[in-house]
Amino acid sequence: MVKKHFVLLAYAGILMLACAMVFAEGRRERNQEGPQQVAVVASGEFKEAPLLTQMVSEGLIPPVGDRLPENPMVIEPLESVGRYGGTMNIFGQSPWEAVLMMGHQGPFLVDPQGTPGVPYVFESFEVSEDFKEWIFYLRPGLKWSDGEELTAWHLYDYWRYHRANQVLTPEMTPEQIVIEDNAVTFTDEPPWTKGRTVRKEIIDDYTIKFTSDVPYPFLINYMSASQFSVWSRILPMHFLKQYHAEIVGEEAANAKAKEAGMNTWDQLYVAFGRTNHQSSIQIQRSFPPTLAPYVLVDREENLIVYERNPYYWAIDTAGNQLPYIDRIVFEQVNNREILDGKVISGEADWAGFDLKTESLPLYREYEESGNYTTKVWNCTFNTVIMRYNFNHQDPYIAELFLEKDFRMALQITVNRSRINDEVMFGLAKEYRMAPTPGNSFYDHEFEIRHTEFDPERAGRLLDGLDITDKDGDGWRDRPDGGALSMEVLVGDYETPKIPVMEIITNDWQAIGLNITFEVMDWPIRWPLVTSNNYDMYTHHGAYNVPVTYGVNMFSLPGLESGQTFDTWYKTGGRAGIEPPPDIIELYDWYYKDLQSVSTEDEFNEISRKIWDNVIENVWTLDTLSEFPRPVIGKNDLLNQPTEEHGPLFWAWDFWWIHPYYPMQFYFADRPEITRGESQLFDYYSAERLNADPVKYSIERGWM
Amino acid sequence: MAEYIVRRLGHSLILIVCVSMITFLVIQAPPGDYASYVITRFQNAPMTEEMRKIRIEEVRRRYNLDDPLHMQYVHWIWGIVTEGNFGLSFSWDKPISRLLRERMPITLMIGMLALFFQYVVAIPVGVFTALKQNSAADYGITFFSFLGMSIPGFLLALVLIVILFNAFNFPVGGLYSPEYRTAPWSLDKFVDLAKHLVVPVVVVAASSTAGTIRVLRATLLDEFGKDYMRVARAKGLSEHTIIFKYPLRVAMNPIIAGFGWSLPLLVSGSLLVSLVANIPDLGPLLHEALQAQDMYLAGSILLMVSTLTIVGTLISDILLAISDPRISYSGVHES
Repeated sequence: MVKKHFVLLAYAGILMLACAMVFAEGRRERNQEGPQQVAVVASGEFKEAPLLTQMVSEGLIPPVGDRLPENPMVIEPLESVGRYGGTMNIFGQSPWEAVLMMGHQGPFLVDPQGTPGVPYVFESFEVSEDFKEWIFYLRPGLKWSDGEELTAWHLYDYWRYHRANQVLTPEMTPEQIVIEDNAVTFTDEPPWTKGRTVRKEIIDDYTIKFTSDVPYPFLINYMSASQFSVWSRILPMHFLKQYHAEIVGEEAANAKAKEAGMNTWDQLYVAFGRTNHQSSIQIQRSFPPTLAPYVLVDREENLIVYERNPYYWAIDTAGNQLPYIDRIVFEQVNNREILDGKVISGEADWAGFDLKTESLPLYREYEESGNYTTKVWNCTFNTVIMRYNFNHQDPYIAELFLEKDFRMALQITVNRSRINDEVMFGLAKEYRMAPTPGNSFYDHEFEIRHTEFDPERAGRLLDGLDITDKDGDGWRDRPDGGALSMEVLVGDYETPKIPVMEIITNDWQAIGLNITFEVMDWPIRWPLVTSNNYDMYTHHGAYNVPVTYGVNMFSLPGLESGQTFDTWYKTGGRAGIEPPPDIIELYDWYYKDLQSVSTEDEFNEISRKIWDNVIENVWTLDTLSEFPRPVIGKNDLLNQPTEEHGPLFWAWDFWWIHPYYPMQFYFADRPEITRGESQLFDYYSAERLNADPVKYSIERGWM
Repeated sequence: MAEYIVRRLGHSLILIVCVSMITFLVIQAPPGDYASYVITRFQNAPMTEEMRKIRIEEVRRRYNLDDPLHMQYVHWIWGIVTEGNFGLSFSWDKPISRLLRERMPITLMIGMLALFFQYVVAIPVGVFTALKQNSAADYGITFFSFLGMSIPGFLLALVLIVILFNAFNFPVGGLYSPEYRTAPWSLDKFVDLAKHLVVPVVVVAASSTAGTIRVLRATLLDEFGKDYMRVARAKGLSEHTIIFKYPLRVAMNPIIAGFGWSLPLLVSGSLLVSLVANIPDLGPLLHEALQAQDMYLAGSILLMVSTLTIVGTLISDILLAISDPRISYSGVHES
């Protein structure tokens, strides 16, 4: 039944060996935990933070042995077994930095190389030869932060009441869903599944089975990369159901929402149901139970305070319940200068998410006085990518963007080496948004095709399209003599987009193209993009690791831009705009053929075909790859990952530092927080546990 | 006097209504808002036509988008006047009144401290420069007050933060150091807070302090040459009494008049400074609201700030009337 899994294995070059190994890894981990576990359980040696012992003696929580699952996740500390104590101070422009520390609470993780399927909330999985049947095993006895045990029925409830609910999941139609007592079947489940019917079934309290009518090789990728986890999201349904119209009745549910100052029940449900990584600072509340290593105990103005989750279900190799650090305090800062100030003055214990490549020299300069160390992680993004609006309201522009020569002219006017020198300290790779060596279909030629800087040829290509200066004003005009000007919408986030776009647009202007860019924040930019009021817009591309490929390919044309080709394709023509035949063919390769491959040769063949197409056609303009990302950590924060522990990939697909388990970080000698400082006792007091969550939240201004 | 105050009150009320209308128009002016963003999302979601209609309908109803503009305005104002309900912030999912209640006290605290700082520094220094006209000290103070008036607050804040951090290891932005953020109140925490407040208070007060020094100096110098001064001197009054009893009182008039506009200036000045110095008050809230096109939130903050301006002007009018009786009568006679 069990078979090698080439997607899992797509790294490390030695394919055959790796193939056999990677899937085995999932199994091995389970076996490995066995004896260790037995030893720890037999000696009754689970240890917990002193404050938790005090809470046990006061009767607020059960003893540690009863809080942990039968087979806790065992996390091997990177350097040494840690000690409990300390408060970690982190700062950021958005709460993402805190979310990083929480990790995601998906069923599986990726390892530092990007291989999916590392056991996390789920204990293990099995897959059939033909990739049509997947069985997932939960950890018996694993508990939510309120002490409720997580069972397979929480997932059933999620499918049954969330994914199959028309209000919460409007993109599903009733014809796509079949509901049974122990299973829910979805056909063409959006957003990414097309041409597939999957029956999700509860075998017993701790076993789940997915049966697909066609091979489903990437399911484990979806299960491991939490951002794609509509199939695997683990929500505290036992808590959320009290606000669900189908459970308590529409009237009662709406009344509850009104009490919270909202209009309809789904708003309240969604507000409580946001998982950690979705929530932003203003909507996080301490109520919904979590599986994260920390619970949110307090929030005021721009602070979020987390303390350890006494029910966190992972231990270190010595039987100590994780996490080691008592408390995380996140403070939102308003701008980068202050964030840099917090770093160089040594106030920040860890920072990564909002740090900018450009500030690298500054961080280095203050390392000694700030008592921290700067590490350079490798950002797997393509620094800046630019998407064309193939559905432009101006028919000429729409047609022009579909013209390969035009896209090529723009692509070869990107001066990669100048960008690398001036913005990236020469540390980035001047490569396309192409697969990296870890992938089985890797081809170096993909990385370097059309990366030459050749403005002269670009000019000739434009001449060929009759885009020449007709009125002598120095700018190239349309064939009919009308002015041709375009604007790129640029957002200033995560990667240095503005300096890169400055260089690129200057070079475009030098060959006579009147292209400018405007910096806009997301809330303004995104409506323009989704309502089809733009020429081009920038983002950054994630693309090159096994876990993402096959799940969401950034290089395809017509993605993420409102009424597009992609929407047309996925809705079977119900919405969006019909793409030209060659794009439909490309979509078929990716969404139909690739999504249901069952042999490795087939997988590699189709992948090469897809990549050859997207690289050759430059559907998306790309710039530089694998650029440096500063990450700082205080010197007394131990067990931080270094190059010795594996590749330091800074990427969404990896959930940033998650492959290295931030819950095993610890402070060398910071004191434990005292009973007086801790808010955990209040958090687990009968008063809060029995309170009405809505009233309690309103009283404290959380809602 | 009473008539004067009632008249001023009436003017202020009319002004507040006008300002609220303009604010509301400004809210509506930019193309696209949060609600239309929500709607475009539904329009592009691959959902059934019927479902899409229901969802869009609901959003439009929730934000009263189908009402004509003047009715939307009436709804908004009615909510504010009758129940202090400024509406719901789209991006925070929270009643705006609750957000304002959280943030307003910090803004007001910084504003009040800055006001205090402004008068405590400006009045003695102003008198001093007038007395020591054309001395080296006068030139020095003049130089610095021009600097204070001309350097934009956000830049001054950044420069001060850098200088204080490098020279005295002062904290960088925020209200508390990490170790005190969650700690109960103590002397140490108070000192820590005071250190954090140095930059915002000094920067917010800088320009108005400098302005006040200049105005005070100029008016005092005007008064010094007048006949009543000579008479007072001839009567043999001490120099101290002469200056503090007569010309200073006259010179205070423009300062009292200035109180009206310094109140809103302090609040709006702190908006930008707290953004730079990372103070969790109205500034960042307004900034985020504008970025997110959370127009009701932005509008509510603007309305609060403009109302403060009007109230400040009202207070200064009344204060002026009290300190200088000529003012309240002159208006009456003219009308």
